[in-house]
Amino acid sequence: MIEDDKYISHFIDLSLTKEGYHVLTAETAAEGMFLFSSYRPDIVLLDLGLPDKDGVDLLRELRAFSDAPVLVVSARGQEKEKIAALDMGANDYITKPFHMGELTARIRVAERSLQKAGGNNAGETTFTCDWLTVDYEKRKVLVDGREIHLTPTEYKILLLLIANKGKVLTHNYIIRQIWGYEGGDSKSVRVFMASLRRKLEKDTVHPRFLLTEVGVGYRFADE
Amino acid sequence: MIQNGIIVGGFDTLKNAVKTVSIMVLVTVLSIFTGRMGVENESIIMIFLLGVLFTAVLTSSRRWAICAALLCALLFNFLFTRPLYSFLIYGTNDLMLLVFFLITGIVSGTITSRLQNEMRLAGQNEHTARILYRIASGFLSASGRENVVKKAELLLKEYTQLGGTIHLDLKESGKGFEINGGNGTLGILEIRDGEPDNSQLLIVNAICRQLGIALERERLVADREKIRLAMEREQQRSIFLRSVAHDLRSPLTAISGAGNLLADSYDILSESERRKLAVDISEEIVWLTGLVENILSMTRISAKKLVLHKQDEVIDDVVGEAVKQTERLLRNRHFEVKLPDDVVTVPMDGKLIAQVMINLLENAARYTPPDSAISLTVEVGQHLTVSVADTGEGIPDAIRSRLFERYVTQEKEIVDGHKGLGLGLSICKAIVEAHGGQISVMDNVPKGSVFTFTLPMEENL
Repeated sequence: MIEDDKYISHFIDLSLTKEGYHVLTAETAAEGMFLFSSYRPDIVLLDLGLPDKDGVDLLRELRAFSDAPVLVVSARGQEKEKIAALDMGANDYITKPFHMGELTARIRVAERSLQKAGGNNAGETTFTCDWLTVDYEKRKVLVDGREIHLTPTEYKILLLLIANKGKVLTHNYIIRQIWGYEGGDSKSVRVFMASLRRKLEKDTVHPRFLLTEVGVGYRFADE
Repeated sequence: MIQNGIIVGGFDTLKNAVKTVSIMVLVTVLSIFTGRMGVENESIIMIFLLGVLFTAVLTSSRRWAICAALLCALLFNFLFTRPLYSFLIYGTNDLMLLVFFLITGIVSGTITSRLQNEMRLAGQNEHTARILYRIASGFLSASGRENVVKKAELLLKEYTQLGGTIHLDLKESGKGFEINGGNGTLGILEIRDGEPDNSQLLIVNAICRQLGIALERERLVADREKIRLAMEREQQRSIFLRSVAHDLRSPLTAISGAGNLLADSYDILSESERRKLAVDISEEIVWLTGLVENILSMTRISAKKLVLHKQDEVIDDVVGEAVKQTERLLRNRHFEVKLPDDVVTVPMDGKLIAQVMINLLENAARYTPPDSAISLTVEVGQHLTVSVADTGEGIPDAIRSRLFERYVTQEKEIVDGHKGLGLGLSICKAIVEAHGGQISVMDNVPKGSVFTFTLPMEENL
């Protein structure tokens, strides 16, 4: 954890240690980089408001040599910084003030992405989660066993989200992956996501899989 | 242009020549006639003098008057001095007459000519002065930078028939006439249709000067307005800060009390007492967090202009966000959401509209009894309509009219408990209205309240 506020780092340390994690704390970006290089931790909690360096810059440096999951901690209203961090390679973000419950949930998601690092769905032919099943070979999507018709673009987006499950994907990222650099705009992304949600979710107001982060992007939740 | 000058000049000369000749002819005929009537030479010479004076008045330079004088002298000599019809003069009387006539003619001709010129000049000067006066008053009526510049170009065209462009962007230093303000050059006036002549030059300079003054004036007006807005903003900010500080006092007191008790008397307290204190602290903090959220939204409202980051948002997303944030509060309540069947996008600032919904839902949850049902409905029509309804006690008439007002006016009139309705509703109003929508409250049937806000479906350009 790279966090300069002592009170925050104290209670996070306390709760995570209680959960069984081993926590190292750094108060500056420099110290954080040092600790990271020396100990090679599994997951990084990065506060965006560090005193000596911009969190996004530190993330860039980190990403140059490590794919370790990074969760950024930001203050409310810092949409641009959040999006920049996610585009720079952060996996997820949490906004201050937060409940410990949220943080531990997101850390668990990050842990899972560690376990299946390398290989992903390479050999898998189907993906199943609760009532949703995706058959890659037959290109079919089933909800409660019933086949649902998706447009080619909707299908592509669903696959992209599942491939990055747990991770927050920004609008820009989705546009780039699906349409390339020229095509698409964020309005179309939203519309596609909304129609996907209506087709696959049982309660569009409390979605199970396709979670929206307003102003930032989308996430596929599999926990 | 030179050719034109010669032609014009030639034309002028022709006119003058014609005038002179015709006057001479007239005068000659008249003098012969009076001569036949028996009038003496001394009187006849006066007719010729008259001729010279008229020539001076009617022609444009004294040259012609002098010519006329000489011509008259010759004519008089030829026609009236003895011997008649010759250029010889026998009599000293006649010679004297001739000589003094010549002198008188030339002098008075010259003076008259000069007088004519002076009068003409005075007329011109008056004309020019009038133009300058009109130019100056022309600028008085124009306000606003663009209007002032346009006016200048119009005036230029009107009074000099020249087209010009005014460049107020100092980066291009072209050739032209400088427009100067109080301190330094404000721009350049570039004449497109060639060089102005002397008479036009005066007008061009006058326009430049007046333009400079008018632009200075505009700048000062703009500065004054800026200062006024800044002062207003300052005032609003201090009112706002005062109300925030006021709002913070109660929960801080509760938290500090509970916290201190835990810290100092931990051992004396019973297990359940400690637990209660910890829970109290947590709950107060939740309320404080909501307040901070509203304050942050408030800081994006500055001097009646709300900074929006509008995107086409899918209404489901925004509702989902609001519901997610109020999950805890609505956990044990009867709560339902109704969304339209189709996927609808509406231009809005997603975060802010979510904040509006959150505020409305929080109010519904906090100020109605636990058995009251809460609902959030979204309808699409001419506008996007969002309603939050509850089946609580309703809004007392006393405060209904002031519900959406800024916090300050509600300072002493608080609805329930120690937490006033505070900023929540006034923020909702500011956000909704900044989007071009409206917010209102009505009674729910059979009881409770319905808060409704609308948003335009399309961007109004």
